[in-house]
Amino acid sequence: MASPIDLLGVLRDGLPGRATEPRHVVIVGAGIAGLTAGLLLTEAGHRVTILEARNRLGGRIYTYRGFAGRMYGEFGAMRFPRQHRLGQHLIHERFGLATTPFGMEDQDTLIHLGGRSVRRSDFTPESFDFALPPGERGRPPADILRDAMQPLIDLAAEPGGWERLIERYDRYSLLGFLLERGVSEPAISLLGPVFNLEGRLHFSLVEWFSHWHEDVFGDLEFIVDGADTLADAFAPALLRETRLGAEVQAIEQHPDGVVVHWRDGVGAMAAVQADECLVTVPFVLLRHMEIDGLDPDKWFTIRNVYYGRAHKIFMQFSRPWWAQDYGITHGVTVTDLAIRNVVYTPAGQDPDTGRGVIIASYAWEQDSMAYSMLDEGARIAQALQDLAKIHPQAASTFEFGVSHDWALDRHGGGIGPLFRPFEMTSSFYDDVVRPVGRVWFANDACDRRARRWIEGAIAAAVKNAYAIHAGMRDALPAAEEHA
Amino acid sequence: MTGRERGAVLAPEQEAFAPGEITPDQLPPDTTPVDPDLLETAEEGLERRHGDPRRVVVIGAGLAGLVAAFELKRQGHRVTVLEAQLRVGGRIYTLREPFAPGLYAEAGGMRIPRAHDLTLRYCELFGLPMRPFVMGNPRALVHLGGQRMTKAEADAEPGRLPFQLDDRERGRTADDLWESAIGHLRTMVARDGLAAWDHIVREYDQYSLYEFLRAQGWSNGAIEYFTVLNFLEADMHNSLVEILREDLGGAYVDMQEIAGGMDRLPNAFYAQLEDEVRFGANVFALDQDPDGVTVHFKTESGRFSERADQAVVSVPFSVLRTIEVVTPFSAAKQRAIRQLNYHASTKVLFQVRERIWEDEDGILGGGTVTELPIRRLNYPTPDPSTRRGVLLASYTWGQDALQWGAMDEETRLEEALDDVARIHPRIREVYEGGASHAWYSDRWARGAFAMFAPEQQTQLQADIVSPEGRIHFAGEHCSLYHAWIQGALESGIRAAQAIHEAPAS
Repeated sequence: MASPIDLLGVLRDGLPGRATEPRHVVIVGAGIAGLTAGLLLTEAGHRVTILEARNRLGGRIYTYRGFAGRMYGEFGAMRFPRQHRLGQHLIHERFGLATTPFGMEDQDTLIHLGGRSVRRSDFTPESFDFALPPGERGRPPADILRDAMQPLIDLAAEPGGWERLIERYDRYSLLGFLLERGVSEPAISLLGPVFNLEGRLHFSLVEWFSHWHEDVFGDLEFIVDGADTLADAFAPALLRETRLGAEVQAIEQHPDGVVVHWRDGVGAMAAVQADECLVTVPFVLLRHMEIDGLDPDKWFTIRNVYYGRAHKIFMQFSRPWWAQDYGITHGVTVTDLAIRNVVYTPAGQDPDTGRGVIIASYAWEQDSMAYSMLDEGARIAQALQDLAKIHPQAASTFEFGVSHDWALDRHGGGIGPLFRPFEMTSSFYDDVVRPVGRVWFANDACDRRARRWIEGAIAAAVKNAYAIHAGMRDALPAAEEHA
Repeated sequence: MTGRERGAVLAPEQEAFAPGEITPDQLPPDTTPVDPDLLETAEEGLERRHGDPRRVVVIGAGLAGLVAAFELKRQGHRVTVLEAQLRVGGRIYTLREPFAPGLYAEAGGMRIPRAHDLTLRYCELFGLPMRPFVMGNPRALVHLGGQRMTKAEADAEPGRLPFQLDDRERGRTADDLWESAIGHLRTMVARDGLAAWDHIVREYDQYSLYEFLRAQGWSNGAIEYFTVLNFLEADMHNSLVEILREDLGGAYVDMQEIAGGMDRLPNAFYAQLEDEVRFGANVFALDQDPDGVTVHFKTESGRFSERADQAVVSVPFSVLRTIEVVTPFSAAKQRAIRQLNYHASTKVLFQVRERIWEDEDGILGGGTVTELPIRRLNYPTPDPSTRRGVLLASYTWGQDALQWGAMDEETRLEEALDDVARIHPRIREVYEGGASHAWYSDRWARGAFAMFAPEQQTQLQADIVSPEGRIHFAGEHCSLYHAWIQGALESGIRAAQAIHEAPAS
């Protein structure tokens, strides 16, 4: 096998060499993957046409700007780990966007369970009656969790640890593993809200573990002017090549090229011919596209990559009472109320307005379901009712609310892909990323280490752009899997 | 301390296994957890006892709420049923609009297996006419990888199907492979009845269907073959025990439907409860104190409350999640309400002026399977009085259903037409119009039905069904017949029984 390519190097320095045989590449989707691939290919001398169903760039980078003043809310990507080198490169070196830390831990935030609030700074397992068995009673929750994870921590420290983790533990859900390790059900009830595990219990142990172990949430930042400025930074190079409002219906593959058929907002059909087609939209959307030439295994993974359901409900208040009355400047309050997580987002504030905006509810999976079918008014009203149980000030200072439900977003297909047990091993995963003939796949599902992050989407985009540029067929370049 | 060993229980040779002892076509033995006395309730009502009549408020007029109210009223209790919609039946929902006069289709529950005795007893009590609901029609189609064949052809030549099987799997049908994996459990259930279920739950509740099949050494191709043919692909990560319970419990064997529409069952209950049901009553809060229960509801004209001795909450937990519970339930109950997994489901229905599948393919009822997004077609029971009919053009679960649900209705119909046309090319000539229903987005259902994730029966079931003081719980989610009328009825009767037998306070 050829030596692995350096993804950061390619992103920074461009694809190696100018295209000797410029290709025309249709890119489906103008999210971060489509934009990154489009930029690299364009700069190397290829021609790209981007087809985007929405009327904006960015996909699941989606900044809402309907609040007072310069306040905004990030419905999609909102925080960027500093350990994600590709994302950092785009944000800082390539586009020079200003950033500020997005803190996740604020000891002034609350844990609100069973109708009672306790500050994180005051929280102990005795704060609530979890009825822990003797072996676990009195122990800090973080220790219980770390002990349970010790075998994985040890394995991760060994050479080749990542591969061995997958090999050994891919068959576990987080819940299945905690139970096997003898963590009691009451302790799981405690760990769930404190470490926000409840939405992950039935998903892949290894994926959760790698995020937790590498502390992906430990050092985050946000883009001061809004995450959409990252997507918009590609506009000068690519907007001209992009057709907005173009929903792709079918991709024909021929021996010498592709024909991509799309439909505009009033149903008129059109087609574009090209040499290659790079599909960057979520796999779940491909279900409703016709794509020539894909084999049954490829379709199997397309049908089975799971996309999480989630919503965010933002609210604007006449004054930032969380800072004024509680000293909360960032971080998350967790609760067993239906709203589940309150995020005091440092992003999107505008002190000049005297107001503030927070995420009154950010919830995944089952927890998101309680809101999905409500109309917007009812969603906001119910979330506000819950929020006021934790923060009574919310009721009298509420000004405006707005929500986005990714499960019901037709072009998002969910908030992002989640690994389930058995899906990280090669027999399943290789089919996820594998190109088929002239159709290529690059989205945030196509990376094991940084799935659901822009990092994963960028990494996949770089690999596919490299392969197209290098004239590879039915294969991708090797690249090291690193966080 | 180490918990359970995974994988240790999986070797079939550890269990007494006599392959072929029972075939899937035979009606399974009575393994249902419905008590015989519960079964008699339909004819005889709850056991008579003396005591003051209770005031009972029932939230939700689906079948669980209706049967609870019906049985309590029969014993002289004073019942009020609060229903948010302007119809009864909940997830039994027969669509008569927008179809032509006389036509209808089922957006919700559509069939009753012979094994669901309790359901059939109530149908009998109300004198409802039953007729067969065709399931395994060998003339129905399998449409996979662009190939179209009959189910009989697919079974005769599994090698024609586009699945990549291992050597030891090749040439075998999906059902045959499945029997090899779980036949010993079928035998055990036949032999040991309820005791077998205790064992099955203890040993297998930790597995999703996918985990189980992988641990059994199935190839991905075989897993795909089995789950696609059995409409389980979107269900693979749910609890194995759910799938075993349906299969070993005969949930798809010898099925019937109510002639004239499934809504005739809830409507028959309603005929006995007209004065007790209050429609348009959206419950937003409930509370209890030592003397009784208070249920707060709003209608389009204002806010009201109802006071009672006891309450039956028969709405799904996903709906209960956003009802304010003033005196909080126990932590265990709250966890069960939060965590119980709900499944999505979407149906797309076509009115056609000619049932082309009958003339062209000789398909009289039954279902066609495909890996296209529509997943399956269900052909209506032939009706000689008209050439028209309503085709269930797509019936999906889970992630598939969410995708359909995220589309507007016009797009759903157009996309479904595209798919159906690949299987029945003349569909566009005979298509007249359509309707659809996405249960995930239905405000009063919030999901199609409860469906355990791995470990959930062990962890949650006791807390799901247990009453909280004066508040009792009913609905398919409070039974082990998730998604079925039988579960709604069983849990509703149990709630009524508990109230009826509770000592006077």
